[in-house]
Amino acid sequence: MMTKKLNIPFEILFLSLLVLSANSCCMWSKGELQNTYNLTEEQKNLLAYTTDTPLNFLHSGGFQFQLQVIIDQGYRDNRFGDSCQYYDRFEFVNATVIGDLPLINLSFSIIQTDVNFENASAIFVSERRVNRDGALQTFVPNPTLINEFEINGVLYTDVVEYESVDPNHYLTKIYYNSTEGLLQINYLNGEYVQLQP
Amino acid sequence: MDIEFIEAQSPVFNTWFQDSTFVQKQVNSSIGISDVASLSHEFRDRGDSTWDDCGGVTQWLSSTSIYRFNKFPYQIEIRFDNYGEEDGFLFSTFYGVQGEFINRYESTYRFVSQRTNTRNPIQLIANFEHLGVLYSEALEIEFQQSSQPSEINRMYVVKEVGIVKLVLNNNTQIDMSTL
Repeated sequence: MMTKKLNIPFEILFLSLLVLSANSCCMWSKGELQNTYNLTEEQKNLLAYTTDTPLNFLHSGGFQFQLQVIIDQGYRDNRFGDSCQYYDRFEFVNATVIGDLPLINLSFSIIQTDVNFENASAIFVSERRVNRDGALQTFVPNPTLINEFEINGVLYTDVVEYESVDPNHYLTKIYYNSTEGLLQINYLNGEYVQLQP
Repeated sequence: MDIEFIEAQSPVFNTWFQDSTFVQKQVNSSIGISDVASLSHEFRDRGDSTWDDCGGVTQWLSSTSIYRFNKFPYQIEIRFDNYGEEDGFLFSTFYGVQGEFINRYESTYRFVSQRTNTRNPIQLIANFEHLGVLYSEALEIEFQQSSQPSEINRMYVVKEVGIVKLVLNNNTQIDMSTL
Protein backbone atom coordinates (compact mmCIF):
# COMPACT_ATOMS: atom_id res chain seq x y z
CA MET A 1 0.00 0.00 0.00
CA MET A 2 1.57 3.28 -1.12
CA THR A 3 1.30 6.20 1.21
CA LYS A 4 2.35 9.79 1.31
CA LYS A 5 2.55 12.41 3.96
CA LEU A 6 -0.13 15.02 4.33
CA ASN A 7 0.98 18.20 6.09
CA ILE A 8 -1.99 19.07 8.19
CA PRO A 9 -2.07 22.01 10.54
CA PHE A 10 -4.88 20.25 12.34
CA GLU A 11 -4.00 21.71 15.72
CA ILE A 12 -4.35 25.19 14.26
CA LEU A 13 -7.75 24.37 12.85
CA PHE A 14 -8.95 22.85 16.10
CA LEU A 15 -7.61 25.71 18.23
CA SER A 16 -9.38 28.14 15.95
CA LEU A 17 -12.65 26.39 16.63
CA LEU A 18 -12.02 26.67 20.37
CA VAL A 19 -11.30 30.37 20.04
CA LEU A 20 -14.51 30.88 18.12
CA SER A 21 -16.57 29.14 20.77
CA ALA A 22 -14.81 31.01 23.62
CA ASN A 23 -16.06 34.31 22.26
CA SER A 24 -19.71 33.39 22.76
CA CYS A 25 -19.90 35.93 25.61
CA CYS A 26 -19.74 38.74 22.99
CA MET A 27 -22.73 37.44 21.10
CA TRP A 28 -24.95 40.41 21.86
CA SER A 29 -22.54 42.96 20.38
CA LYS A 30 -22.53 43.30 16.59
CA GLY A 31 -19.17 45.07 16.47
CA GLU A 32 -17.15 46.24 13.49
CA LEU A 33 -16.00 43.79 10.83
CA GLN A 34 -12.22 43.71 10.59
CA ASN A 35 -11.30 40.80 8.34
CA THR A 36 -13.06 38.20 6.23
CA TYR A 37 -11.27 34.89 5.72
CA ASN A 38 -12.72 33.00 2.78
CA LEU A 39 -12.03 29.40 1.90
CA THR A 40 -9.98 28.85 -1.25
CA GLU A 41 -11.37 26.71 -4.05
CA GLU A 42 -8.74 24.11 -3.21
CA GLN A 43 -10.02 23.97 0.37
CA LYS A 44 -13.67 23.80 -0.69
CA ASN A 45 -12.80 20.92 -3.03
CA LEU A 46 -11.66 18.88 -0.02
CA LEU A 47 -15.32 18.50 0.89
CA ALA A 48 -16.65 15.88 -1.51
CA TYR A 49 -20.33 16.71 -1.15
CA THR A 50 -21.91 19.45 -3.22
CA THR A 51 -25.46 18.11 -3.44
CA ASP A 52 -27.80 16.23 -1.13
CA THR A 53 -27.88 13.06 -3.27
CA PRO A 54 -28.43 9.97 -1.06
CA LEU A 55 -25.49 7.60 -0.60
CA ASN A 56 -25.78 3.81 -0.92
CA PHE A 57 -24.05 1.82 1.79
CA LEU A 58 -23.68 -1.82 2.73
CA HIS A 59 -23.33 -3.18 6.26
CA SER A 60 -20.90 -6.07 6.86
CA GLY A 61 -23.89 -8.22 7.80
CA GLY A 62 -25.37 -7.73 4.33
CA PHE A 63 -27.91 -5.02 5.12
CA GLN A 64 -28.22 -2.32 2.43
CA PHE A 65 -29.23 1.19 3.41
CA GLN A 66 -29.00 4.83 2.36
CA LEU A 67 -27.47 7.86 4.04
CA GLN A 68 -28.70 11.40 3.55
CA VAL A 69 -26.39 14.39 3.04
CA ILE A 70 -27.20 17.84 4.41
CA ILE A 71 -24.96 20.70 3.32
CA ASP A 72 -24.60 23.89 5.31
CA GLN A 73 -22.29 26.81 4.56
CA GLY A 74 -21.70 30.37 5.65
CA TYR A 75 -19.56 32.37 8.02
CA ARG A 76 -18.71 32.09 11.69
CA ASP A 77 -17.93 35.32 13.52
CA ASN A 78 -15.16 35.67 16.06
CA ARG A 79 -15.59 38.74 18.22
CA PHE A 80 -12.70 40.34 20.04
CA GLY A 81 -11.62 43.54 21.72
CA ASP A 82 -12.17 44.89 25.21
CA SER A 83 -15.82 45.57 24.48
CA CYS A 84 -16.23 43.03 21.71
CA GLN A 85 -16.19 45.95 19.34
CA TYR A 86 -14.52 44.04 16.52
CA TYR A 87 -15.05 40.77 14.72
CA ASP A 88 -13.51 38.63 12.01
CA ARG A 89 -15.51 36.35 9.71
CA PHE A 90 -14.42 32.83 8.83
CA GLU A 91 -16.04 30.95 5.99
CA PHE A 92 -17.09 27.34 6.59
CA VAL A 93 -18.71 24.49 4.70
CA ASN A 94 -20.22 21.51 6.50
CA ALA A 95 -21.72 18.28 5.19
CA THR A 96 -23.66 16.13 7.65
CA VAL A 97 -24.15 12.48 6.67
CA ILE A 98 -27.07 10.87 8.51
CA GLY A 99 -28.96 7.60 8.66
CA ASP A 100 -31.14 5.81 11.21
CA LEU A 101 -30.41 2.12 10.66
CA PRO A 102 -27.62 1.86 11.60
CA LEU A 103 -27.64 5.21 13.39
CA ILE A 104 -25.05 7.47 11.74
CA ASN A 105 -24.60 11.20 12.28
CA LEU A 106 -21.23 12.42 11.03
CA SER A 107 -20.21 15.95 10.16
CA PHE A 108 -17.42 16.75 7.72
CA SER A 109 -16.41 20.39 8.05
CA ILE A 110 -13.83 22.79 6.80
CA ILE A 111 -13.46 26.27 8.24
CA GLN A 112 -10.95 28.93 7.34
CA THR A 113 -8.43 30.19 9.89
CA ASP A 114 -6.47 33.38 10.22
CA VAL A 115 -3.12 31.59 10.19
CA ASN A 116 -1.20 31.33 6.95
CA PHE A 117 -0.20 27.83 6.04
CA GLU A 118 1.25 26.20 2.99
CA ASN A 119 -1.11 23.29 2.42
CA ALA A 120 -4.90 23.18 2.57
CA SER A 121 -6.50 22.22 5.86
CA ALA A 122 -7.84 18.76 6.51
CA ILE A 123 -11.52 18.04 6.92
CA PHE A 124 -12.70 18.14 10.55
CA VAL A 125 -14.79 15.08 11.41
CA SER A 126 -17.18 14.87 14.34
CA GLU A 127 -20.16 12.88 15.53
CA ARG A 128 -23.10 14.29 17.49
CA ARG A 129 -24.82 11.76 19.69
CA VAL A 130 -28.51 12.08 20.38
CA ASN A 131 -28.46 10.21 23.64
CA ARG A 132 -25.39 11.92 25.02
CA ASP A 133 -27.06 15.29 25.50
CA GLY A 134 -25.58 16.57 22.28
CA ALA A 135 -22.02 15.65 23.18
CA LEU A 136 -19.52 15.85 20.31
CA GLN A 137 -17.19 12.97 19.53
CA THR A 138 -14.21 14.00 17.41
CA PHE A 139 -11.90 12.02 15.16
CA VAL A 140 -8.25 12.69 14.47
CA PRO A 141 -6.82 12.22 10.98
CA ASN A 142 -3.81 10.03 10.38
CA PRO A 143 -1.25 12.32 8.71
CA THR A 144 -0.27 9.55 6.30
CA LEU A 145 -2.60 9.34 3.30
CA ILE A 146 -3.63 5.95 1.94
CA ASN A 147 -2.90 6.03 -1.78
CA GLU A 148 -4.95 2.97 -2.64
CA PHE A 149 -7.96 1.87 -0.57
CA GLU A 150 -9.99 -0.99 -1.98
CA ILE A 151 -13.68 -1.66 -1.41
CA ASN A 152 -15.18 -4.63 -3.28
CA GLY A 153 -12.71 -4.31 -6.13
CA VAL A 154 -12.99 -0.54 -6.44
CA LEU A 155 -9.81 1.43 -5.74
CA TYR A 156 -10.04 4.80 -4.03
CA THR A 157 -7.05 7.14 -3.86
CA ASP A 158 -5.76 9.70 -1.37
CA VAL A 159 -7.86 8.33 1.46
CA VAL A 160 -7.61 9.82 4.94
CA GLU A 161 -8.09 7.52 7.91
CA TYR A 162 -9.69 9.19 10.94
CA GLU A 163 -9.46 7.60 14.37
CA SER A 164 -11.67 8.20 17.39
CA VAL A 165 -9.98 10.25 20.13
CA ASP A 166 -11.65 7.87 22.59
CA PRO A 167 -10.11 4.40 22.10
CA ASN A 168 -13.21 2.78 23.64
CA HIS A 169 -15.69 4.56 21.41
CA TYR A 170 -18.03 2.17 19.59
CA LEU A 171 -17.06 3.79 16.25
CA THR A 172 -13.31 3.42 15.81
CA LYS A 173 -12.27 4.54 12.30
CA ILE A 174 -13.62 6.58 9.40
CA TYR A 175 -12.23 6.53 5.87
CA TYR A 176 -12.77 9.56 3.66
CA ASN A 177 -11.46 11.10 0.47
CA SER A 178 -12.21 14.40 -1.22
CA THR A 179 -13.65 12.75 -4.35
CA GLU A 180 -16.24 10.35 -2.92
CA GLY A 181 -16.53 11.52 0.67
CA LEU A 182 -17.31 8.94 3.35
CA LEU A 183 -16.04 5.53 2.20
CA GLN A 184 -16.11 3.29 5.23
CA ILE A 185 -16.84 3.23 8.97
CA ASN A 186 -15.26 0.63 11.26
CA TYR A 187 -16.89 -0.32 14.54
CA LEU A 188 -15.32 -1.58 17.74
CA ASN A 189 -17.15 -4.91 17.52
CA GLY A 190 -15.68 -5.69 14.09
CA GLU A 191 -18.65 -4.59 12.01
CA TYR A 192 -18.24 -2.05 9.24
CA VAL A 193 -20.24 -0.19 6.62
CA GLN A 194 -18.95 0.58 3.13
CA LEU A 195 -19.91 2.91 0.31
CA GLN A 196 -21.52 1.16 -2.63
CA PRO A 197 -20.83 2.61 -6.12
CA MET B 1 -33.45 5.39 48.22
CA ASP B 2 -33.25 2.08 49.97
CA ILE B 3 -34.23 -0.78 47.70
CA GLU B 4 -35.65 -2.82 50.59
CA PHE B 5 -38.04 0.03 51.29
CA ILE B 6 -39.31 -0.12 47.70
CA GLU B 7 -39.59 -3.88 47.67
CA ALA B 8 -41.69 -3.83 50.82
CA GLN B 9 -44.34 -1.58 49.28
CA SER B 10 -46.02 -3.97 46.90
CA PRO B 11 -45.53 -7.48 45.62
CA VAL B 12 -46.20 -6.37 42.06
CA PHE B 13 -43.56 -3.66 42.30
CA ASN B 14 -41.14 -6.18 43.65
CA THR B 15 -41.62 -8.78 40.92
CA TRP B 16 -41.71 -6.40 37.95
CA PHE B 17 -38.89 -4.26 39.24
CA GLN B 18 -35.94 -4.31 36.86
CA ASP B 19 -32.67 -5.52 38.30
CA SER B 20 -30.42 -2.47 38.59
CA THR B 21 -27.29 -4.57 38.27
CA PHE B 22 -28.03 -4.81 34.54
CA VAL B 23 -26.13 -1.86 33.12
CA GLN B 24 -25.48 -3.26 29.65
CA LYS B 25 -27.37 -5.50 27.26
CA GLN B 26 -26.25 -7.22 24.10
CA VAL B 27 -28.39 -6.19 21.14
CA ASN B 28 -28.64 -8.39 18.04
CA SER B 29 -30.84 -7.84 15.03
CA SER B 30 -32.20 -9.80 12.08
CA ILE B 31 -30.40 -7.40 9.70
CA GLY B 32 -26.97 -8.18 11.12
CA ILE B 33 -26.45 -4.94 13.05
CA SER B 34 -25.42 -5.58 16.65
CA ASP B 35 -24.86 -3.18 19.50
CA VAL B 36 -24.42 -2.85 23.24
CA ALA B 37 -27.14 -0.87 24.99
CA SER B 38 -26.30 0.95 28.20
CA LEU B 39 -28.82 1.05 31.02
CA SER B 40 -29.22 3.51 33.84
CA HIS B 41 -31.57 3.12 36.78
CA GLU B 42 -33.10 5.59 39.19
CA PHE B 43 -35.33 5.13 42.20
CA ARG B 44 -37.33 8.04 43.46
CA ASP B 45 -39.69 8.82 46.27
CA ARG B 46 -41.97 11.27 44.52
CA GLY B 47 -43.57 12.37 47.74
CA ASP B 48 -46.91 12.03 49.35
CA SER B 49 -50.28 13.31 48.19
CA THR B 50 -52.76 14.25 50.89
CA TRP B 51 -56.17 13.36 49.56
CA ASP B 52 -58.63 13.91 52.37
CA ASP B 53 -59.21 16.12 55.35
CA CYS B 54 -58.37 13.29 57.69
CA GLY B 55 -54.80 13.26 56.46
CA GLY B 56 -55.19 10.31 54.15
CA VAL B 57 -51.95 10.07 52.24
CA THR B 58 -50.97 8.35 49.05
CA GLN B 59 -47.35 7.50 48.63
CA TRP B 60 -45.76 7.60 45.19
CA LEU B 61 -42.60 5.63 44.47
CA SER B 62 -41.02 5.05 41.07
CA SER B 63 -38.26 3.04 39.48
CA THR B 64 -37.02 4.20 36.07
CA SER B 65 -34.72 2.37 33.69
CA ILE B 66 -33.35 4.12 30.61
CA TYR B 67 -31.96 2.25 27.61
CA ARG B 68 -29.47 4.04 25.36
CA PHE B 69 -28.18 2.68 22.06
CA ASN B 70 -25.21 3.45 19.81
CA LYS B 71 -26.34 2.06 16.46
CA PHE B 72 -30.11 2.31 16.80
CA PRO B 73 -32.01 5.62 16.80
CA TYR B 74 -33.88 5.09 20.07
CA GLN B 75 -33.92 5.89 23.70
CA ILE B 76 -36.39 3.85 25.76
CA GLU B 77 -37.58 4.63 29.27
CA ILE B 78 -39.47 2.23 31.50
CA ARG B 79 -40.90 3.73 34.64
CA PHE B 80 -42.64 1.54 37.22
CA ASP B 81 -44.86 3.44 39.64
CA ASN B 82 -46.28 2.39 42.96
CA TYR B 83 -48.99 4.97 43.65
CA GLY B 84 -51.05 4.09 46.67
CA GLU B 85 -52.94 0.91 45.89
CA GLU B 86 -52.11 1.03 42.20
CA ASP B 87 -49.02 -0.29 40.42
CA GLY B 88 -48.28 0.47 36.82
CA PHE B 89 -45.86 1.05 33.99
CA LEU B 90 -45.16 4.06 31.80
CA PHE B 91 -43.29 3.07 28.65
CA SER B 92 -41.72 5.85 26.55
CA THR B 93 -39.83 5.47 23.28
CA PHE B 94 -37.90 8.28 21.66
CA TYR B 95 -36.78 8.27 18.01
CA GLY B 96 -34.22 10.62 16.50
CA VAL B 97 -31.24 10.84 14.20
CA GLN B 98 -29.81 14.29 13.82
CA GLY B 99 -28.80 15.33 17.31
CA GLU B 100 -32.30 15.35 18.80
CA PHE B 101 -35.35 13.17 19.28
CA ILE B 102 -38.17 14.01 16.90
CA ASN B 103 -40.82 11.46 17.87
CA ARG B 104 -42.00 10.25 21.27
CA TYR B 105 -44.62 7.61 22.01
CA GLU B 106 -46.01 6.58 25.37
CA SER B 107 -48.10 3.81 26.76
CA THR B 108 -49.31 3.00 30.28
CA TYR B 109 -50.48 -0.13 32.03
CA ARG B 110 -52.21 -0.37 35.41
CA PHE B 111 -52.10 -3.75 37.18
CA VAL B 112 -54.92 -3.22 39.64
CA SER B 113 -57.45 -1.41 37.46
CA GLN B 114 -56.29 -3.34 34.35
CA ARG B 115 -56.33 -0.14 32.33
CA THR B 116 -54.11 0.48 29.35
CA ASN B 117 -53.47 3.09 26.70
CA THR B 118 -55.85 2.75 23.76
CA ARG B 119 -53.63 4.45 21.19
CA ASN B 120 -50.65 2.24 22.05
CA PRO B 121 -52.22 -0.83 23.69
CA ILE B 122 -50.52 -3.23 26.07
CA GLN B 123 -51.23 -6.92 26.56
CA LEU B 124 -50.16 -9.21 29.36
CA ILE B 125 -48.97 -12.42 27.71
CA ALA B 126 -48.62 -15.71 29.51
CA ASN B 127 -45.85 -18.24 28.77
CA PHE B 128 -43.71 -16.01 26.57
CA GLU B 129 -40.78 -17.77 24.96
CA HIS B 130 -37.72 -15.84 23.83
CA LEU B 131 -34.33 -17.20 22.76
CA GLY B 132 -35.05 -20.54 24.35
CA VAL B 133 -36.17 -19.10 27.69
CA LEU B 134 -39.77 -19.42 28.83
CA TYR B 135 -41.13 -16.52 30.85
CA SER B 136 -44.34 -16.92 32.84
CA GLU B 137 -45.48 -13.45 31.89
CA ALA B 138 -44.52 -10.68 29.51
CA LEU B 139 -45.92 -7.33 28.54
CA GLU B 140 -46.35 -6.63 24.83
CA ILE B 141 -46.53 -2.94 24.03
CA GLU B 142 -47.75 -1.99 20.56
CA PHE B 143 -46.79 1.51 19.47
CA GLN B 144 -49.47 1.96 16.84
CA GLN B 145 -48.67 5.68 16.56
CA SER B 146 -45.21 5.04 15.13
CA SER B 147 -44.98 5.28 11.35
CA GLN B 148 -41.36 5.36 10.15
CA PRO B 149 -40.13 1.97 8.86
CA SER B 150 -37.31 1.92 11.39
CA GLU B 151 -39.42 2.97 14.38
CA ILE B 152 -40.47 0.51 17.06
CA ASN B 153 -43.79 -1.23 16.45
CA ARG B 154 -43.81 -3.71 19.35
CA MET B 155 -41.78 -4.09 22.51
CA TYR B 156 -41.66 -7.08 24.90
CA VAL B 157 -40.83 -6.63 28.57
CA VAL B 158 -40.42 -9.40 31.14
CA LYS B 159 -40.08 -9.38 34.92
CA GLU B 160 -36.76 -8.34 36.42
CA VAL B 161 -34.95 -8.58 33.08
CA GLY B 162 -36.71 -5.72 31.33
CA ILE B 163 -36.81 -5.38 27.54
CA VAL B 164 -36.01 -8.58 25.66
CA LYS B 165 -37.33 -7.89 22.17
CA LEU B 166 -38.23 -5.12 19.75
CA VAL B 167 -40.00 -5.45 16.43
CA LEU B 168 -39.76 -2.53 14.03
CA ASN B 169 -42.37 -1.31 11.56
CA ASN B 170 -40.28 -2.83 8.74
CA ASN B 171 -40.42 -6.17 10.63
CA THR B 172 -36.78 -6.10 11.72
CA GLN B 173 -36.39 -8.18 14.87
CA ILE B 174 -34.12 -6.90 17.63
CA ASP B 175 -33.24 -9.23 20.50
CA MET B 176 -31.74 -8.07 23.75
CA SER B 177 -29.96 -10.26 26.27
CA THR B 178 -27.98 -9.69 29.42
CA LEU B 179 -24.20 -9.59 29.07
